[in-house]
Amino acid sequence: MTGRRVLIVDDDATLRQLLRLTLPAEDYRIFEAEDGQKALELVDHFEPDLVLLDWKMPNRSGEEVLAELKAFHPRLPVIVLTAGIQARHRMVADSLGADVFLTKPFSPLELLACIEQLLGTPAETGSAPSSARP
Amino acid sequence: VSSTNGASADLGRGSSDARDESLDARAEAAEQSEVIDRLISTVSHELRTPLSVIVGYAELLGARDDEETRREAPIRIKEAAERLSSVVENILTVSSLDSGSLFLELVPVDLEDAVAETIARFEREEIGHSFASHSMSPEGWPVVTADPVELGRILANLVSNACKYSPGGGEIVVRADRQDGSAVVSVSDEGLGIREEEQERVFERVSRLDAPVQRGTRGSGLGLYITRALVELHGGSIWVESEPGRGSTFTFTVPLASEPA
Repeated sequence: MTGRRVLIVDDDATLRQLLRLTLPAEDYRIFEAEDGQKALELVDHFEPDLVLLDWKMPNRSGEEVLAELKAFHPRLPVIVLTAGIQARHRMVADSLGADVFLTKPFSPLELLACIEQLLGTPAETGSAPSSARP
Repeated sequence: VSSTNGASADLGRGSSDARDESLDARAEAAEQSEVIDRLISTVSHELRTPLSVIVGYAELLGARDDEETRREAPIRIKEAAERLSSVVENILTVSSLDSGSLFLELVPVDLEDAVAETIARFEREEIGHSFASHSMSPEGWPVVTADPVELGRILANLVSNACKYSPGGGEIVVRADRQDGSAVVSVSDEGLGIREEEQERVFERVSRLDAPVQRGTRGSGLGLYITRALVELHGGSIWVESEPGRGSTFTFTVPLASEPA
């Protein structure tokens, strides 16, 4: 089973685990990065269909990662998850082309719906990857 | 959170001294507001991250039936709730320290017992670290004048910090000595260490060190600020010696209990 490929980027291991459990294993293949630098390295190796991106991280912030992702992979959907409260972050994320901006705490089921909206539901796409990149 | 009133007290006076003062005051107010911004941002992050775990797992537990969710959710929810409660407690402590409403109940405390109690707690919780304690004084472990609850908090904060900043494990050693009417207590780790230029900053409010040292660690960034304030309330002082890559030693003093005449 191939499934859609999702890269989870968050410096908090417990939160990465929650995000992984949110995405049903039969539909998604998950890759994890604990900081921004690692995320950028993994993107080139695993060519994900979607990225879940924390904002406040060591070794390249979410802002830097988003800017680089959108520069080199403009069609790759990115969902930003932030624990911050500053409106400025949202403006920056929007201007850099974030597809969705969610504030923690978030609803895992809403997040899943959001991902399915961006990638198409598993039933629509079967196991074919890269549906978001025609 | 300290107030910034007074920042505009000198506005409108004619002399250049007053203008300089008002510029200073404004610069100070700006700096203060930056500190507050940073504090709010850190606290928001430290509250919302465990809150996300609680809310998220609770929702998944209600919606899913798989074995991993059923097994993991209660454990992660409990851990996150404990983390949340410790951040909240730190914030309340800082607030009572700032308003001067934290009062110590000073009694004679056997330092050996206090250290043993702290170590026993961490031995249960921390796998991967070993713990030891030694009295360096020929007279043995001292009895100090302290608030037992707050002394326990000082020791726990330092041991917790030592564990946090030695992610690869290793030994954490608590030593006690006597000098000039005080007990001198140190907590050493074999961890990441702190660069010299950052050693002054570790006791500041919200001072968690920059990456990569910060990597993989968590906390409100208030722990050492609280620790220093509690040590100073007891009439002692605290300092750190460290070498990057070789570990850190935090040392504090606390008054000895006066000998019965």
